[in-house]
Formats: sequence, structure tokens, C-alpha cells
Amino acid sequence: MNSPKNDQGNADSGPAGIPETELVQHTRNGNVEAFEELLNRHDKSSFDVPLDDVLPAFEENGHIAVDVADWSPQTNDPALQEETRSVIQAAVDRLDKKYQTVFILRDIEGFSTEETAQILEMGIPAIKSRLHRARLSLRKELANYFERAESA
Amino acid sequence: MFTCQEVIQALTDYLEGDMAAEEKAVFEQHMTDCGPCRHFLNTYETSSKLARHALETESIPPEVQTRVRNFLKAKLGLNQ
Repeated sequence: MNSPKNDQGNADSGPAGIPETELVQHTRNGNVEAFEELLNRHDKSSFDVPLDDVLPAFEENGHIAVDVADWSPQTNDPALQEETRSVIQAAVDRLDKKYQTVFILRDIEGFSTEETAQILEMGIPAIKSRLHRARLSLRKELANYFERAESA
Repeated sequence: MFTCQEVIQALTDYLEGDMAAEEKAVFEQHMTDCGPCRHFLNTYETSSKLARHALETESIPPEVQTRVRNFLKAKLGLNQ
């Protein structure tokens, strides 16, 4: 396995020029350098989306105030698969580090919530809270994408 | 009684199976009665599954998994 620090010139994905999701794949293959790069990069690439932007609007009594489209059946459309993958990759890359790390371990790598808590030396409630936040952000980006695809 | 807002807050608890039986029954009743919440749950759950499907390549051999796990613990434990 080559070092991830080779010349894939992607200007906006950080100094090493490789998207984080690719680094995750290298990490999965046991490449420690890729994992270190992943860790080093977190502080530079993250931003935090306000919670209101990823939740539906609620009325004062807590009742949902908008219609929510169920686009999950559309996700089986083979014509959208490659683009969906890019949308997911970009969304995960943009997650704030503290949500991203939990999301990658729990939902992509498939560690249990308890294992993720042990790896990060955090409590389970904190893991679940970050996981929820990450899933909400990803859901929102996919919702934007599929709702656009539907109306196109 | 769950409001929609509480239901959405509790999605991870529900999917993790961390609800007492009675709470779970109320949650599921809400999902039956409330289309928007049901659609939110479906798309929330689908998002995780899609991400895993899209971003995982092949399964890690167990020995690498152990190494990654130890490495993660050593690296990340210090930062938390």
C-alpha cells in the first residue's frame, strides 16, 4: 500500500489532497499513515451546521410543522447510485470532527455504540448524542439531494 | 406522551433498542399515527445504511480490526 500522501491534486480537500472518505478506506485496509492524516486533518476541515438546519420545523407544542418527504424508496434507483455516493462522501467529509469520528466508527465501520464509546473513552450518552447529530446532518444533505432529484 | 420533537430526539435511542417496552410502544404508536415522523425515521435510518453501503469497501480482517481498534484507542483517547 502506498502512502496516501501522493499527488492526487484535489485543491479543496486538504494538504494531502485525498478526500477523507478515501483516507477512511485506506485506514480500513490497515494503513496507519492514512489514519494519522485523517486525524491531523480534522481541525482544519470541519464546520458545524446549526441544529435547526437539520431538524424539521416544529410548532410550539412540539408538533412537526412541515411535511416530510419519504425519499427512501428512491435510494434504490441505480441511476442515482454513483451521485448518491458523492453526496454522502461530501456530507461526511464536512461533518464537524466530533460528530464525524463517531459516525465513521459507529455507522461506517460498524463498531457497536459501546465499542465506539470505549475507543473514544467517552460515555455512551455522549456517543449517542454525537451519532444522532451526525445522522441528522447526513439525512438533511441526502434529503436536499433526493428532493432535488425528484423535482428535476 | 411523545411530541414529534421528542420522537425525533429519541430516534437513536429507538434504533439502538434502548427504550423500555412501554416507551417503545408509545413511540411506535406515534410513528403509526404521524406520517411526517414516520418519513423522518425512514429517511434517517436509510441515510446511515446508505453511508455504510457507499463508503465501506471490503470487510477488515479481524487482526487488522484489532490493530485499528488499539490504534484508535491510543490516538483518540488522548484527545478526548
